[in-house]
Amino acid sequence: MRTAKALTLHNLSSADMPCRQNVWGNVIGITFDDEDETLLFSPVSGDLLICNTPEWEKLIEASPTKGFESELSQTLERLGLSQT
Amino acid sequence: MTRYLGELTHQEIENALRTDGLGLDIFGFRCLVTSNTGLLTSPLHFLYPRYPAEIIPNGFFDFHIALNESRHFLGKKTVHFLWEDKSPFPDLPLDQAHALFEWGLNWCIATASGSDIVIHAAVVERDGMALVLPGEPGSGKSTFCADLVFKGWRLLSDELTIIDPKTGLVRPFPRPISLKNSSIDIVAERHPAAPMSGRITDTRKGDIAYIRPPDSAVDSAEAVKISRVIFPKYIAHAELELTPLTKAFGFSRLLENTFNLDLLNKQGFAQYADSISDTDFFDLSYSDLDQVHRCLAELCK
Repeated sequence: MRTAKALTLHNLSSADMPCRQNVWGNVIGITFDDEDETLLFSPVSGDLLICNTPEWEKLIEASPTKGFESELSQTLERLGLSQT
Repeated sequence: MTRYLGELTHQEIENALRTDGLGLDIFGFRCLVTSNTGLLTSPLHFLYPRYPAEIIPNGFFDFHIALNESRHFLGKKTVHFLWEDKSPFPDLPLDQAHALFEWGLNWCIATASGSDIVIHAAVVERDGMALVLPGEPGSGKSTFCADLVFKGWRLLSDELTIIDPKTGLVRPFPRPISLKNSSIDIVAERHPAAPMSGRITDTRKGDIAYIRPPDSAVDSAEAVKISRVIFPKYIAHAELELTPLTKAFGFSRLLENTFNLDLLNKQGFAQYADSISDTDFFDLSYSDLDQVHRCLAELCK
């Protein structure tokens, strides 16, 4: 297991940004207006995942202090979240 | 001195290719091409007549491309592609030199386009509305694109959709439309006046022919915002079916067709997402192009 990175959750959304963006470790989540899905992307691994917004919020709540961008998919699976 | 390639004689082009190189400016990408094959002059003159060209190259070029004759170990003549000491393609039969030029140029741009986002997709525009058509081989993307172009849509690109991440707009990059196998006959039958190159046979993609981009497409430098992304799928005898996709899912599919995703950092990804935030995404299965036109007329009102 690699060195844990502190999770950072920055809300980058602004009034002129039509889609909401959150950064979680090295993963960025994109939520478009009027949609109940969040697209997760790791620029490091190139992984793409989609989860619905409640799942995304649950993911953040479940792992507020640690996370591994390269293990995102395993984390999602462990938490019983869907993967597309 | 810069002239249009169509103003040059075959002899001038051939001399340039065999000596210091032919400079070709394709919507901001400056290419210096050399070749001793004798097989590039005619297709370049026919397909790229309205592109600025230099027979005495001057200044900086983004890509230095060489296509030279070599010899297979069995004695057969082949063509070798080289870009700055890199050769991503195996040597091909000599008569495929032009196809190798087009594929090689695509590869150069997909590999080294700077900060631009490059998607494997055709893109056309009408009434300020850009329609992006990503497609796997066999999806009918190029046939679809060619048919739209001959029905009045402006060609921005048949193969590479290039987005400027700063503006979120698609930069025009019209080059010859590549048709393969049965698509050649379909387009020739539907559009008999289409300016089509000779057929290159038995390539690794089958038979290939190229259509010259309309002058109006080459003369327009206007960048446009993406309005619709349609993932086409040709299915023989199928009824047309248009299925809306969520933006998140559609964007993920677009990302799968993005060449330089590995160059995007978080900010770049956010800019990319922002550029398609007003875009609608659809899956489209079809067999009849006339049905497609009626569908698009309705969709793009």
